[in-house]
Amino acid sequence: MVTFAHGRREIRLLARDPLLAFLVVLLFLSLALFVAYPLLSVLVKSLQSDEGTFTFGNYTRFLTFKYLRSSLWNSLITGFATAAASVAVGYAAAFTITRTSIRWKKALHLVFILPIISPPFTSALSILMLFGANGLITRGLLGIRNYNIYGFKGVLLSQIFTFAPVAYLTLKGVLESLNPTLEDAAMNVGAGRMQTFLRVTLPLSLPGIASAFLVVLIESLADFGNPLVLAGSRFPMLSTQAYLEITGSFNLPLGAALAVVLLIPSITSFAIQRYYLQKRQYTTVTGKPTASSSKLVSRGARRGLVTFAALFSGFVLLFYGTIFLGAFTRVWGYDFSPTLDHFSYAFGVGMGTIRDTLIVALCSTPLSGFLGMLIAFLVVRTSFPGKGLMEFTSILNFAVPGTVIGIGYILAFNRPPVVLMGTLAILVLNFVFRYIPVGIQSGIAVLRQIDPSIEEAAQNLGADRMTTFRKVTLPIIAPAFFSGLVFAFVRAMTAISAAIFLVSANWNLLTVQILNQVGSGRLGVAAAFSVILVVIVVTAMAVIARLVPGRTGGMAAIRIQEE
Amino acid sequence: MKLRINSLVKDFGSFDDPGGLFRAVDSVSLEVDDGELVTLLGPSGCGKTTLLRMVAGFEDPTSGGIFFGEQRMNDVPPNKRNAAMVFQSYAIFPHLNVRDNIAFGLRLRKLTGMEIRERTEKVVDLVGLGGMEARQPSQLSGGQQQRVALARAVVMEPSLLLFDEPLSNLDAKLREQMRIDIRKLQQRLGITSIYVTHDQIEAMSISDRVVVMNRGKIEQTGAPRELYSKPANRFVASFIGKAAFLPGEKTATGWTLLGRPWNPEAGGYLPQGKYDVMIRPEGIRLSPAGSGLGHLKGTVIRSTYLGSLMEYEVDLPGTEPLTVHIPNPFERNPLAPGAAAELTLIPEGLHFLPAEK
Repeated sequence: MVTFAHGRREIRLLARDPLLAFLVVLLFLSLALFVAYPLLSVLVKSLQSDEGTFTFGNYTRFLTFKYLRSSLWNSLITGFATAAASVAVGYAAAFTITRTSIRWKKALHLVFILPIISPPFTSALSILMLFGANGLITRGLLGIRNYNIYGFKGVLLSQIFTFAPVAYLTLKGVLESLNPTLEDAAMNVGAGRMQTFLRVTLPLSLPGIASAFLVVLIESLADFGNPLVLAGSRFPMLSTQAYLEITGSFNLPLGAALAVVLLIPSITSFAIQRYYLQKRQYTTVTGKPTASSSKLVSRGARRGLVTFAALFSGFVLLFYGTIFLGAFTRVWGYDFSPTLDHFSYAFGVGMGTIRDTLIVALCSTPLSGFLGMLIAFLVVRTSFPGKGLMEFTSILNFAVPGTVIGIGYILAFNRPPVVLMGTLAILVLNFVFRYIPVGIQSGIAVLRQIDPSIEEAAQNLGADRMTTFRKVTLPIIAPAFFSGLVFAFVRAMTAISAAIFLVSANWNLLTVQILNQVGSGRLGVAAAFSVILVVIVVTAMAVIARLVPGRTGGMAAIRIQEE
Repeated sequence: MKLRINSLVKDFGSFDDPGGLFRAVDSVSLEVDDGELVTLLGPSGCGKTTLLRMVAGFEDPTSGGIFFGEQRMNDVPPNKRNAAMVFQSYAIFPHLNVRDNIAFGLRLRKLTGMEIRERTEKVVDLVGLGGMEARQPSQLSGGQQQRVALARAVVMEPSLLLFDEPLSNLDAKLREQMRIDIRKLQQRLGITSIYVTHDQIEAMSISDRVVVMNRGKIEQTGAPRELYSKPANRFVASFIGKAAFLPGEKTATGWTLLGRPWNPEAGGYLPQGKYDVMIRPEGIRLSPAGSGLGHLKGTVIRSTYLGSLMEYEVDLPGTEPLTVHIPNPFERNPLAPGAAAELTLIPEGLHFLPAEK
């Protein structure tokens, strides 16, 4: 009864504020159409036969065919191995940055997170160039002929390189937020360095470690670029297999079924991470972070950590250097003479693609940023029926692998009532609704820190909700908003997994173009496209950092991803 | 403008837990006259801030009515009420300088630039912020931020001024100064005002009338002098100032206090029965034992020199120790702890409450 009365009062509140009511209804409709409807379409399709009748046949096929079944197993084992290794690397890197007094910390930090702003298969490409059949290291240095990098080891190596930075960022936040006086206190009562680490630092960072593990697991399961380039046909993985069933065998129902199978571990990990682990984070911060104690690290341990940091950043630079060199090399592995041919080819063939990519990114970025902040604002500051549902739906896409979303979009929008296939709109909408969760999360975090009476003051002085949002809330959250924009832009420029289903002859994307070049063996052109892409992203970040006053460095954008 | 609050109720509940219902304001009725300053005083959680926020429109009443003059305001959104508020946290817009903070509301009213400038300048002078118009909030002290908040509210020429514990973040000296300034400004502008505080001194010094609240209800409403000298119950008596209660009884033959015959020289109009006899620290005289001046006998257990007064704690058989204030303690040899003393209750300081339980 109380619930009913309360709900009725909230509806009355909505009625009193028609703009709020309009926004809420509009948002619910768009979330239903662009988040829930595609997912449902995948589920429905997976339960249909080719003729459209109801069947469990696709799932029985998945269970009976060993090749298909193994794709789940392969994805899981790769996911767990990647997560474990990434967390180990990330923790060591984060520990080095937060607990030792090494030089060039800032530069080191930038190198560590460099892989985050590059297309997800940059590493796959450089691994091919370094360790492939004609690899610089395998064949060139070691003289091994026809070395086979494809399969588990290739994907694992590439994914660690791609996702360790993600784990690093999460764990750096965790270690920074652990009050170092706790470590001082442990040593003060007589604990040795190792004891302090094992009994204080490690247990306190355990929830963070678990959280980072699950985040990497989710990303690894959803990863598309690395498996497509490096898995090979003898090591099928779920996300790519679903794609191949649809584009190669035109078997939509089976592809949908594989997508649903992929969804299960992703959603489970997400649920654990969000609803279980997040409540168990130890935040011992009480104000500004105090200077961390470097007494915790012995000279020997420090040497080990520094060596490790040097090795890891060396790898990052090697991978990037390889791409860069590859873009200017005639035939990688045979003819290392310098050339600009790849670039002239890329600009000749790919100018349209570069233009398309920029248009898509520039359209979706502000939309996604604004929508994210708006939803965050509504969730934190207003009250309306279905608020919890709105928050849940809008962050759902965080957990859903891009492959699943891509399949959902082709199923949902290639037939009435909404036909969008082949248009710019479908790409833009896909990016907007995939990346608003990040904007929402960071928006919610920032809004919770703003004293609500500041907004009340604006209303008290005669501003309605919209004016309050525009004139007070928005300016205050602007730094977070622009960081969100940078992130959305980087993601829109570098995304592949969902986009690959949605590109068309009219609208193509750079990432898809790179993958096509890799597929047809033109590694040099692929490298040239990658260089162009990275240059565009870095330029855009620098421009936004310039435009936005205050401390919104472009790199700050990356930080919000994991918060 | 006159404010009328009619049987106002506010329940806080949760969606999931109907049992978690909490009545923050419990059928409160109140009238505030045009130009009057009324203070809502009470301990934290007594509902005073919730009441204020309902008047401002930030909370919706569960039942009851709020009237500005003759107009019912319950369904008027906060931005259309013209009831300017000064917030406890000041709520200065951090991205705007002093001038833009003050002009914020005027700009929303689409006044001409000329008018906005004139009114802003006038208010800036009124609150003593001249020369600081271009400063950012981060460059202001707490007291200056407080003045910006005040100016921002006053410049709207509101029909109602609302203060939510505006001085609680200032240090004692500044608080006293601001208190005087706010009162002066309010009287000069003649704006009907509601002032929320938990500080009884602040309430008494600033208000025409004080409303003492406890657990969502009004305990007593009255002028400061009335509340202090004639509190309606023990809660009000103890919340405003210090008070002791001695068990007394009026019978056909006369009064007894602490079981002994007593002539209070007051309360002659009262019917027979048991009473809590309220006495405040300054309503007691203290004299050395054997002087024969006092009626009650006790022992000094603590004496503290406080400058303008001497505070004694006196143990009295059969009741809690009493606090006694002796003004102008010029004498060099006050009663020392352990000394026996006689106490006189000054008739004008006595107040009789029907005995509780």
